[in-house]
Amino acid sequence: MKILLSAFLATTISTSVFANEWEPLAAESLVQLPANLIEKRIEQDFRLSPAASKINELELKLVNQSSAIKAVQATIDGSDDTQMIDEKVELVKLKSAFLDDMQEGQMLRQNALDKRVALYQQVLTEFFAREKQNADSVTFKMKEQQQLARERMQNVMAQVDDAFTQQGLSSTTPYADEFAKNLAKIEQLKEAIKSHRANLSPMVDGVEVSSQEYIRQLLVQAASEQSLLDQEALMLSYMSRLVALDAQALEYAINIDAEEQEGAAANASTTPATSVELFL
Amino acid sequence: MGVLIKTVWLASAVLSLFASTANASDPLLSLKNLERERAAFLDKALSQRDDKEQQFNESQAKLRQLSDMERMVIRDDRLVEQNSSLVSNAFSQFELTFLVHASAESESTVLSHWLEEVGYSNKAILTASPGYRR
Repeated sequence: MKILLSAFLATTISTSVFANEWEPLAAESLVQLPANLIEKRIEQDFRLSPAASKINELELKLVNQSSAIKAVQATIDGSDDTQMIDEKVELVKLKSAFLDDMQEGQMLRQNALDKRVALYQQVLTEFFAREKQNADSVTFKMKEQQQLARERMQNVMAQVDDAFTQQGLSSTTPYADEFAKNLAKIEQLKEAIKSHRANLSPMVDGVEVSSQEYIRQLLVQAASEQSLLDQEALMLSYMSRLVALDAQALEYAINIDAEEQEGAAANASTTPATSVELFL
Repeated sequence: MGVLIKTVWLASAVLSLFASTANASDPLLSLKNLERERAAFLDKALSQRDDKEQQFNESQAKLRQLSDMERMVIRDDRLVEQNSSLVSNAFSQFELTFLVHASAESESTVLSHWLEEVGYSNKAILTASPGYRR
């Protein structure tokens, strides 16, 4: 049982867990899986990571923060610059916290994407290395030779059997009989394996592709996700800028209000007209 | 926890599948048998015997067996998984290893095909005369 369990674990991605992190490491056996299962296994591993939990948690928090921002915005809507200052300060604080959380979520997704891309690249490199190793190996050459021998044998098999029959020997042997019987069954089994849904070749846009092609397509897809993340980062920077401008404007409004009050007080005590009474 | 147990069970099912295609005790057995039987056939065919008809019949029966063994070797996937010079030589010298099928290709008898391959043509043998080497 221990052996079985360790064999099962060997087919998963090794993950070292830090707080809110996803640290996948490409296990050797990951490369042996069909390409579409590699993708699913990586996704599954990510879903179980602290990073994915943190992203879900942040998304829930953002929904609540968004509702709170809308509620405060509705309250101060239509007020003058100098009115409802406390509510406006509260709104800036909420927006700032909202952007902090959104940025954290964005960084986590960026980190996960980087890790996924690195993993796909490792898998692809492993595919290339194996292909090269296979093509260079003695075994590969011998397989080619054996295949050639099979073709040559196939071409003359009937001729050989006919020659024996003509010499009065039986047309078949126990081995040949059994082999022919099993061959038909083997073909049926091969067909069943070929059409089994767990053994289907990976598909891209409805077209069967090789494992290498599939991983390359995943990398292309990752590049488009990266582009969207870049766009989101730009949007976040613009939103931050707007919050900073809001804060500046609010600060200005608060200062002006205070200065006006102080100025009014100063004017009241220091003008000659108001001081005349002191000398009468 | 239930999911983990099921997954481990499924992984074990996959392992038992691999076990069913595990290595035989001697992965080169089919080729070694062929080599032995081919040597026995050539020995029988080339031996000087008085009863030529009996010799011919025995050789033909042996050839029937050899043709089966050649097919077994050609179909044996285990062989090419072994990094063995025996296998490499066998497949790189099809004409000498698979005598029955190679002779059918060259449309000659097995013995004359073999003699041709090792450098003795029918013509050279038929025109040879006994005597001292010149």
